[in-house]
This record gives sequence, structure tokens and C-alpha cells, in this order.
Amino acid sequence: MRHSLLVLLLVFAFTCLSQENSLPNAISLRASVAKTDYFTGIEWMHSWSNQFVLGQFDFGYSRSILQGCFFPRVGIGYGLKLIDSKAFHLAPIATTSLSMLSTFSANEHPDCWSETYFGYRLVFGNKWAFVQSSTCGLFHEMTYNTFSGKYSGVSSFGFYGSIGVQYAW
Amino acid sequence: MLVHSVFTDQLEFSMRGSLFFIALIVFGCNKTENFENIQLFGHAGTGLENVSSVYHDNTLESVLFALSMQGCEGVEVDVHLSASGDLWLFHDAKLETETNLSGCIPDLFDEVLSTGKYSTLHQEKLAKLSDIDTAFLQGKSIVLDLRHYNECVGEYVNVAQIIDRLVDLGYASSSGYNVLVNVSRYEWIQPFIDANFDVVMSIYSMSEFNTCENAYPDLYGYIMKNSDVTKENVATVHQSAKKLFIFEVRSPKMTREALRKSPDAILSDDLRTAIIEKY
Repeated sequence: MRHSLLVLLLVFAFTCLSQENSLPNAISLRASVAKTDYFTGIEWMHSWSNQFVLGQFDFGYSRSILQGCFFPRVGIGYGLKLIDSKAFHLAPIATTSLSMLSTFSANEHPDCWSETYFGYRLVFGNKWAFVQSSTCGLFHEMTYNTFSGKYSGVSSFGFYGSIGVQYAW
Repeated sequence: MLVHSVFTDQLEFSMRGSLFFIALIVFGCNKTENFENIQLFGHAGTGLENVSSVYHDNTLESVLFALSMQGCEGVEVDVHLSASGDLWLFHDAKLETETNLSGCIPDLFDEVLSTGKYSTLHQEKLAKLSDIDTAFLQGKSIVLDLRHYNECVGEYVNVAQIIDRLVDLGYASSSGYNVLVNVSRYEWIQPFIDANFDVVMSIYSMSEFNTCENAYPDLYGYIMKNSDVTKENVATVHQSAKKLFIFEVRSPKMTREALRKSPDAILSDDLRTAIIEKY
């Protein structure tokens, strides 16, 4: 209980420290590691007040580049800046994403993954910045079951960590 | 009117082309080599120490998940004999490395082993070989990697007990699926051949192959590490009318290398990667 109060107090203090120094739009190129593959892609961010939304598009490096399959991953996210100075921001984020991979040349039943993660996003810099984020949470895998002839899903723990370079305007 | 029609046709053709292109990108995998004759087996289910796997290796969940995947043609499982005489699936020698139990399976009775769970998110239970419903094996293969040594007491396991249990389970006279017994102790080869099992021997060099060929001409085939075998070695094994299976195959590069050696099957540690490479 005491710890929870301390955390709430810190959150309140950090929120008060927010100064709305960020530029409203930003786009970043990033490289990531996840349970399913290494990913590379872009992330768009739009912020107002001390909140922001994210739009993400990545593709799986091993599957796409090394194995000749296209493995896309699209995601959206929401964050709240706890610290927002001119050269640094720290924000807890929530993201949800969907990725899809066909293991066969012409497959009617591609494997799908949905991921709902919580974590943080760090930005060092202003117009040009270094971005790092780490999230983890629910990883849900949907695969076609050849016995039942239907898709079946199983949930597990997943993670997503990324680093990138951001340009804001 | 004619111009409009031509324009509409062109637009339709262009849209179809775009849709086809998008579909090709999203759903297509670019493949140029044909590996149709090589079978893909999941190593210990969906793969050993596979970070992208949802389930722990050698669990019932992992085995059934692998068998349900399109393109998976069999599984390999690691089998230990318990003190009660039943067969349990587990990879390591000692249970404390992965589960809530400690000790070696040959020293423990089924009552204790049935309380065993893996220390994972899903906490999968330790599974018996008999837990695998053979209906899921129809048209597929199962490779039984039989563990012959009890590390806790430093003794060999009783081979006759294992054979009896496998016969009880119907694995000696399986119909509709293939059972391959994988042994790594020379003394175990003949008893299994005598009990009408297809026996594959784990070997680490071609000199071992020559030794086995002279001593045990009725062997069904061999299992070798990907790093220990070349394409020429595979051809030599095939010249003796024997099968060769390759294991320790994980990354896309390793999988492609293994497939290019033209073995009879690959025991993949990342089944999805192997399926993509093959198909």
C-alpha cells in the first residue's frame, strides 16, 4: 500500500514536471527484437499536451529478408509523458499490434499474432532524437490446426524492444 | 463509349494487377529450390530451446501443436523409463533443471512423476508417451529418442522393460504411422531389431557409420548433427539403402544448408522456419 502511494506520488510529480516542450509530430526509423522475429520499420507519433498516440509498421527481418517471405506487423499505441523536458521524455506506453506470416507459397491459412503490451518509451533529443522503448505482455498466437480444420489460438508472454532515430516537426 | 470501355478495362486490369501484387507480397514466399522429398519433423515437439515456441519442449501440448501444423510430418521426443516401468517424455538427465521435481526419471515412480510440472508460464505437466493419442500420428512419423543411462546412480536402463512397454503401447505394430526408435548405445540395437522396430542410430562420424554398417546391417538409418554431416556423407548413407536424419537445425541458414544435403528428414528446432524453407 505504501509502495503504491509512493508510485502514485511520483507519477503525479512527474506529470506536473511536464512542460509541453515536444514538437507535435515525429517519425522514427527503428530496429526491434520480438518473440517472433527481429523487426525493422517506422513509427509515427502525434502528441498533444502530455499525451501521444503511436502508429507502427514493421516487417520481420529474418522471415522477410533471409527467408523470402513478407512478414508485416502493424500496431497502434498510446502514451502519457511523465517527464517532458526539451531534450528528454519518458512515457509509459500501451501498444497493440497484429502480425501475419504465411509459411507456404500460396497459403490460405497464414499464422497470425496479436500482441498487447505495456512498457515505456524514452526519447533523448528534440528535433533529432534517439528513441528506445521496451514493452511486454500478452502474446496471442493463432495458427491453423490441421486436425480440427479451424484456427486455434494460444496465449503466452511476449516482449518487444526497440531502438531508433526520430525526427520531429 | 469505346474509349470509356478501354479505360475501364485498363483500370480494372491495373487494379487486379495491384491486388495480385499486394497479395503476392503479403501471402507469398519466394522459393526457387525444391525440397519436396525431405520430411520435416519437430525436434522435441516444436523445437528444443526455441524462444518463439509457446510451449516447452517434450510436452504433450508441444507435440500436438507441432503435429497440427501444416507441413509438419512428424515429431521426435525424448523418452525415459520410470521406476514404475512407464515411458515419460523429458529431455535432460535431471528433473530439477526444468521442473518442480528433482532426481532422475528412472528412480521415480509414476505417482511422483504425475505431479511434475515445468517451470514455465503454462506450467505444462510432465507427459507420458501414452498420453499422445496415436490418432494424431496418422500419416506421420514419431522418432523415440530412448535414454539409456541413469545419471543419478550411474547405471544403464533396462532395455527389455522399454521394449515391453513399447510393445504394450502398440508401437511395435503401428498402423498408419511410422515409429522410429533412436538409440545411441550399440548394445541396444539388436534387441530392438529383434523386436521388429525400425532402429536409427545416433552417430557423430562416418567412421561410426562404417562400424555400424558392418555390425548391424539391419539398421533402418542414422541420425547425425547438421555440423557433422556433408552432402557426400548423405549420398554414402543412401548408397547403403539407409535413411539419414539431420538434427541441430535452427536458423534459416542452417535449415537451408541441411535441406541442400538431401537427407530423408530434418529434426528442426524451429519448425516454422523449416516449413518456410521447404515449401
